Amino acid sequence: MTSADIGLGTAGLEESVEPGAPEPDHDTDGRRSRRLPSWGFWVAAAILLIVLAWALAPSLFTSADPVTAVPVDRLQAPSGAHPFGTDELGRDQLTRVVHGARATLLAAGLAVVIALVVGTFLGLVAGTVGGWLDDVIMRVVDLLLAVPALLLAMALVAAMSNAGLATSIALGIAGIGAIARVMRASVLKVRSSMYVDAARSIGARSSSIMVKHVLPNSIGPILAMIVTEFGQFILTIAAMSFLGFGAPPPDPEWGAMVESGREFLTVAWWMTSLPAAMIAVVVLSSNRIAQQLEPKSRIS
Amino acid sequence: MSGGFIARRIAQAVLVMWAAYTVVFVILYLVPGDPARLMLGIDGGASASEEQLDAIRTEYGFDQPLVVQYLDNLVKLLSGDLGQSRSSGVSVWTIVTDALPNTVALAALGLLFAVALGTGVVLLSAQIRTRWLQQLLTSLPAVGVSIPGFWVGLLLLQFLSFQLHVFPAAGSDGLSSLILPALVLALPASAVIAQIFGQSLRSTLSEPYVDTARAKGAGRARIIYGHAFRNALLPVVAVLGTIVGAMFANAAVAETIFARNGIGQVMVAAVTSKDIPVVQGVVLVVAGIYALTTLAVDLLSPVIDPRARMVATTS
Repeated sequence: MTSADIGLGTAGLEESVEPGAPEPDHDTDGRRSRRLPSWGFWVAAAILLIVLAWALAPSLFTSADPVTAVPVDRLQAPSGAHPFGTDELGRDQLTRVVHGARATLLAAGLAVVIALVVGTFLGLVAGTVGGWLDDVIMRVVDLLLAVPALLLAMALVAAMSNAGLATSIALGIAGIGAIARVMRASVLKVRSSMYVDAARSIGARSSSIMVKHVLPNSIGPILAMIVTEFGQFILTIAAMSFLGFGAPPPDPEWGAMVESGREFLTVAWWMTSLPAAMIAVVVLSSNRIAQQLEPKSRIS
Repeated sequence: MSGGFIARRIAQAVLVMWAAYTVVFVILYLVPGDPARLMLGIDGGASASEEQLDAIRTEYGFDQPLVVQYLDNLVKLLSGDLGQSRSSGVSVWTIVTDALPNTVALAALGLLFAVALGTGVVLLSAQIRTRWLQQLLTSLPAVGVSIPGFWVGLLLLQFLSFQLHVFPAAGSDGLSSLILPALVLALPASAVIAQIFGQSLRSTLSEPYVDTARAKGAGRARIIYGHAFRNALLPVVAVLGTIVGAMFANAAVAETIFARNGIGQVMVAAVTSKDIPVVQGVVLVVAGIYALTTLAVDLLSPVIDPRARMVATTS
């Protein structure tokens, strides 16, 4: 065994996130070029765009009714007419998946907005003001880690009448910590940089330094973070809906569809596995996009 | 390790539990909605009479100012009293401690599986030289973090319980009923562990001391297991508290699918019946488990890492 073996081994580890992805480009300092994303990225982006279109205008993609039962069609296996099969009431599963996109994306989007607004603000204040306020904010943010997102969501559902809103708020709260930490780190990094010193020396006010220099430089890592969180939120929302804490029964929701297929696990695998696979594909796609957005210059 | 270090870490653990309790109290009691109405039924108590509501408010102290309610609950908590379930009247402490051993066993086995799988995949892919197989192994964690835990559970149920009859489909008895639900907890956690461990192993392998070992003629296995493994494990150990906490939350899904008794089932039932004291009790217990795991990690990491030993003795 030679040193080259180990070199090869670790290089392989670094690059291959997607099986079959083309060799990433490297520029001189070994960073992966951001100009040419691999085909995996484009597939992921296309999937997310399609799901987004489902959420915005479901009737463009399917003319069937997601709610009304069609008893003659019950429990049909996937076919040309019903690509995702039908459920125990004869409703087309693909139609329900298409119509279910809106509830999931809305809830995840709202959670992202809450986490983004509060997290950015807290991180900005902690990094800029510093001192005891920084300590207090970051301690509180650390403490949020003690209650897992799914548990916080369930606790909030117990206290509120609107389960969907409760889940979004809980996930938003759970997501604050990560964003505040990234924001604070980039504020500290930018604040100690030469060009900020230069801006300050020519008399720029700290508010204008904040808006012109600190914020734009923090957007990269924050963007990667929120896309990752978006995917994780979708998983938790699906779990909540699977546990029965989502939209009430006739409305289609991905997690609830999987739940209602539990009883028919042995006779109708498509009732559970196809909506669940849909969730996995969407989460995988957002993770792939987040990976692309991540700044590659970090020291590893 | 000095006594001061240990005392400070224990104080931190207590602080975490207190803060989690306070945060949940604030959330549960500040959200719009009348707790008395909430308790009177699924329709939000719309049909309840004013007298009924007043009786409940007096009985549970909802007519007191929030601060008084909070301090009252906190004092009771310090004497080990978590209150009573609003639906069954049984003490929350009894409900939680009855359910806890089942879930602790589940999470312990789940953690064992998760660490073995997560580190195993990374170590295997670091040693394998067949390129496509290595690429397959390194892409597994990214897929693993994207798959819903309940799907894993249902697939296991479908193939291993219903088709092959290897494991029981439901129940809380014996080790064989533990394995599938433990896998439901373990698979997502193992993917997270593999991502962290993989990144950390990669950066450890680019350390100068690895070059030195290589220059002195150490083989790949010797470098990975003799030099890099322990150091690369540290970031994984650091997130164990979060991983274990998440397992206790995900137990709700695993226990629902396999019809097991445990803290997750208690939580789901309490949320469905809007039984706030039980909800609070479960959240407090899970925060406590997070705090205890973090405490154990803090006390154990000096054993793994001599550098942490220095910090522990000097601070």
